[in-house]
Amino acid sequence: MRHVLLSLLMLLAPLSGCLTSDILVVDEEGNCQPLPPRGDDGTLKILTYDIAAFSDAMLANFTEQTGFAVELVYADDAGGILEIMLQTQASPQVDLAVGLDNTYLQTALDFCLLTANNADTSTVDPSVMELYDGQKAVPFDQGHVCLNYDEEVVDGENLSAPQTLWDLTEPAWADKTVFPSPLTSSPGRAFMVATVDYFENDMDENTTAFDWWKAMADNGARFTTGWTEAYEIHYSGGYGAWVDGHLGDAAMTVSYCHSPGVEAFYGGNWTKSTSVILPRATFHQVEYGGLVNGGGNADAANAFLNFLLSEDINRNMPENNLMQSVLTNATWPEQEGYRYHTDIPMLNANITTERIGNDMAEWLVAWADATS
Amino acid sequence: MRTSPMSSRFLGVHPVQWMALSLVIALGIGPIALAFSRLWAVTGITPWAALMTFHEQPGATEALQFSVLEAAASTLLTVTIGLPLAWAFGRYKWKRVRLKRALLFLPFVTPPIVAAVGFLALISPEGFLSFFGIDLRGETGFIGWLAAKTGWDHPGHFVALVISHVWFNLSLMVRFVEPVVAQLDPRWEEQLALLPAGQTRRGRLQHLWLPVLGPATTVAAAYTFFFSFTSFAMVKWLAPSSNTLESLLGELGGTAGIAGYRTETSLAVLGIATFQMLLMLFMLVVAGRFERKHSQVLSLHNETMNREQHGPAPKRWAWFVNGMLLLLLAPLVSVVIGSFRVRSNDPTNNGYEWTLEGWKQAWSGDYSTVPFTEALSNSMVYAVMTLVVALPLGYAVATSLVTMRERGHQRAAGVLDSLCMLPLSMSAVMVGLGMVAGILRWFPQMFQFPYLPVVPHVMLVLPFVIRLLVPAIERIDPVFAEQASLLPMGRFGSWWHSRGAFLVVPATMAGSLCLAFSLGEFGATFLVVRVGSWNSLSILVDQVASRPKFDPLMFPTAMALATMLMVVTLVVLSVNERARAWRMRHED
Amino acid sequence: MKIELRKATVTVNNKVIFNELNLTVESGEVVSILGPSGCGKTTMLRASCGLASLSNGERYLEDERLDDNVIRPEITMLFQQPVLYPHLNVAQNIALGAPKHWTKETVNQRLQQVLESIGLTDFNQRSVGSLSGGEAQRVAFGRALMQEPKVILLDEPFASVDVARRMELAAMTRTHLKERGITAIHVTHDQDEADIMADRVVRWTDLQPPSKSGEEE
Repeated sequence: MRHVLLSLLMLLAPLSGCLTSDILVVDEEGNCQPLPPRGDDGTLKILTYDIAAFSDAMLANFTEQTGFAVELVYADDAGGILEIMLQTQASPQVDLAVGLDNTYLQTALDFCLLTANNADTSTVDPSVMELYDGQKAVPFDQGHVCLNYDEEVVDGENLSAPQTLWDLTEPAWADKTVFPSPLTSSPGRAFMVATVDYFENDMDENTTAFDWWKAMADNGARFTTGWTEAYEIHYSGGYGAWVDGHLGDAAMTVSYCHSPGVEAFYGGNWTKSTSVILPRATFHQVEYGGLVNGGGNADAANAFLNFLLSEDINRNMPENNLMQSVLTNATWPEQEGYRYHTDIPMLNANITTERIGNDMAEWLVAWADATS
Repeated sequence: MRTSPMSSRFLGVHPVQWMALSLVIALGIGPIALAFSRLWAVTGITPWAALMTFHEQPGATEALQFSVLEAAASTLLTVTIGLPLAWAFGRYKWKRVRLKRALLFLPFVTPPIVAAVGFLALISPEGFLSFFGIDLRGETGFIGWLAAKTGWDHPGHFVALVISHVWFNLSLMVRFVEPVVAQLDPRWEEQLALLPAGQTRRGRLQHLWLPVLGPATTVAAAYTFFFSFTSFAMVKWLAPSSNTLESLLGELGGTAGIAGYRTETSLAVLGIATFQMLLMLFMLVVAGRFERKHSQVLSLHNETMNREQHGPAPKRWAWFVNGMLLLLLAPLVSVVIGSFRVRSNDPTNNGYEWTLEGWKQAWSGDYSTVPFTEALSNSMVYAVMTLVVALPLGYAVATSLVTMRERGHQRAAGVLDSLCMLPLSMSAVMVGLGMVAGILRWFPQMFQFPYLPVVPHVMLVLPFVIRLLVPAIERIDPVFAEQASLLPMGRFGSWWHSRGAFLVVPATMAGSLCLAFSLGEFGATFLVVRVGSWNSLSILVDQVASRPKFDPLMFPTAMALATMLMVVTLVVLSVNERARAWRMRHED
Repeated sequence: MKIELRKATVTVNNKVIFNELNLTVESGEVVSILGPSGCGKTTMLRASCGLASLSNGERYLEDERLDDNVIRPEITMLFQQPVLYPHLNVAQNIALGAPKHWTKETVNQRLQQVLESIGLTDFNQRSVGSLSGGEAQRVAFGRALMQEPKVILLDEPFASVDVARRMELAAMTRTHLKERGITAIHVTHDQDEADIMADRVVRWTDLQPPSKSGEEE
């Protein structure tokens, strides 16, 4: 045993500090320095999460139009995209990152992970460009994160829809809510940001979002690693009822305001799920694509961004990607009750992308403390 | 002129074998050392100091308690069921024994996500167990009563997890113990039967079966404990409210090791990973010492003759073994059924319809950018490469260790043996982190290497190859090598007749492990930070099964892909059994 | 070929197995060494063919000094328990003794001759696992004959055979050895067997200086 430990220590010692020096991409004035590109090899490598829109047919279409081949590298979700970019920033292995949302974007910008693109964003809705209008990221889809609940459980008799978030801390809601953790889930993170704004603007100046989260934890709220676990396993209002292992022990979860619309679209114009639209308790999420600093195949990458914003592709985001288009006058499909069952928030949480970048680390620690 | 077989080397080992040993150890130690180094640099805190903060890390103590409890329970139950199963399977003559052996091994190499889905189908409120009034998932009925009575949090989930671990690891018990039973010289038993001590069942257990089967059982139990302790995917699917240390590390791992970003995560991972590694190393060393202390060279007998002598199994054993086989298949059958069952869109009917649509989607690849055929061919290439690399490497290391022990260098052999087993004690998260950090630093072009996934596959399968081959080599009577040195044979002929031919069966078993591990993508979790598009069949299954299932066809498509993966794995395992049968035919 | 051990000593773990042993066997001579079990006879044979190291002393083949642990193709050994490879049948085991430069036809021809001479003509395809002790030792002997050695070392080759067969086999073995002019060192604890096999019977104790004989571990 002694020999084993000694051997390990001997190996560790000379390696300490060996991996400390990452290539500096930020100069003394805080400006981003471009990394030398990894070269053009004719194949565009895109780091993304498992976006349903990127079907075989869609990518073949892109290749046919532009002549550029595409290879996808999958992260688990938007957070995974950021993590991979951070882990490999010294030597990027991809050219384009697609799927970072506005809760992760600022961090990516602060770490100089993205570089300028020349995509044409003139057709993008101005409300989307308000969140970020720089040259380093191009929006390609959007949605609103909000609470969803099961209408069969929350029927107005046994349980009523909440009028404020504090209603969810009442005994009637004990053990009936489930939230994806903001530490590990993109929608969870977005919703947490919304609660920060919600409680900064409510009547009670003495409580913060994290007081609410603590109260929710004390009231039996469950926290899952990801959206899938919360929605499929615990939430009783969605398709989870058909999934093996479904528990259905939560009547309320975090998803998108258009998730009930998607349920209806696939469920033959029927769903028992609906959204809670409370002012500032929803989050306008936008997903972005951006050229990776140090990536290659810039022409192909820019072409792909333009492709994502093309009418044919972007207008069909609701069917192909279960998210909304970012183009002006975007609408939800009417078929099978998609539009009918989709709620549109009147007042989203109003927190800038910059503030999210500055304060997220602190919020996550506060959230972990509150819910542990 | 030739020198005699044991010409001198350093500690008796040839320089080429030393190179193999060094490579294997470096492969094991390298990534973990890099990961620790990286976390140390990012946090500015030594692993030892981070270890002292273990109890402060959120969820760490609870995860440790849970890990120990479920691993202990899993091991106990695996031994309780697995030992008699292995004994009966090794002792008696069975029809279609090759198929049964392959089926017994199938759970061990089933991708966790496939197994998890299969188990969920069984334990759900409308699943198989519900016929017996047992609801492990929803924890109603008896389980709910138990929870209420004892205050036990989620006993149903705990039981489901333990059962799944037993399901995975029973095959380990059979793989290690069955050959010992099957090849045991019957004279041992016959002699004992004539002695007073052998007149009772207890006496026979005490004086024959426990001493004979003890070392193999200990090794299998140790591995069962390791695998259960480091359970990752099954915990998340079957016991979602709980964490093992490994699943906790999995949650934190993605953001660890990044300078200036979420440093608290790096500290947590460093503390927890250090603790886990030291604990696992300790257990490895203890298990290894026990095995060596109680190991003995048993005189081996022809397996076929033994089985003929004992004849077919008595009814109760036949029921037990065949029953266990059916139970082992149950989760996998659920997967197959799931591939044909699509939820009905009729809002008034929570029902299903039966269709081949999922299979059509799986075959055409509409749900992904990688067609099934490409994913399958990638998987097979990785699997064959894993075999081609791991088997010779493992053999070289095994012979080195055996030679050292034969030359009296027990301590050196023990230390090197432990180092070779290191990958078993390591967190997948740490290995992944270390690999990415190391490759990025020194060989970034490796990320373009299309066969990079083979590296973690080889890393993980090597300890098993070594563990299989070492006792097999030690069992070969050295007189065969001495005789060969006196015969006019070339180098290869001499090696083949004195060693190679005797290792056909264990080598094919090791080979099938290599193939099956790689197909099941056991090393996938090692590449936690995926920076390449290495699409194998297992990853394809994982990808499709993890997607939101608004579309009713998504789940059956994933199950169809999983079924195809299982069939491929079963074919691979069957090849192994054919090789074993060839060997036995030549010995008759 | 003449084989000699001069002042040969073997010590294992500070225990003297034999000390300053002298043995000369002339070309074509069959010498039986008589000694009790465990006295060191097997080690002496192993040292003679190079399977064991001499701690001291020298080994000669036809007056040529052989280095320690060098195995010469002219020397072969029959172990106490016949060493037959279980994955090969009788014919294949015997054929292992064929010199590498023989053609396939020559091997087959000689194989048949050997099988006939050891009385196992119909045993070609038999599995070695099904042989009796005497049959197995005959196969091992047949393999040794295939090698056409100059020297054969026989380590109690008939120990696993019943008494009646033992004498028969001893006689057969001697006949083969003398026909081919093979030098042989035969160790046994059985006087009768030694008398049948040997031109000359030597006592183990006579090979070494007095009061220096050791025990084999």
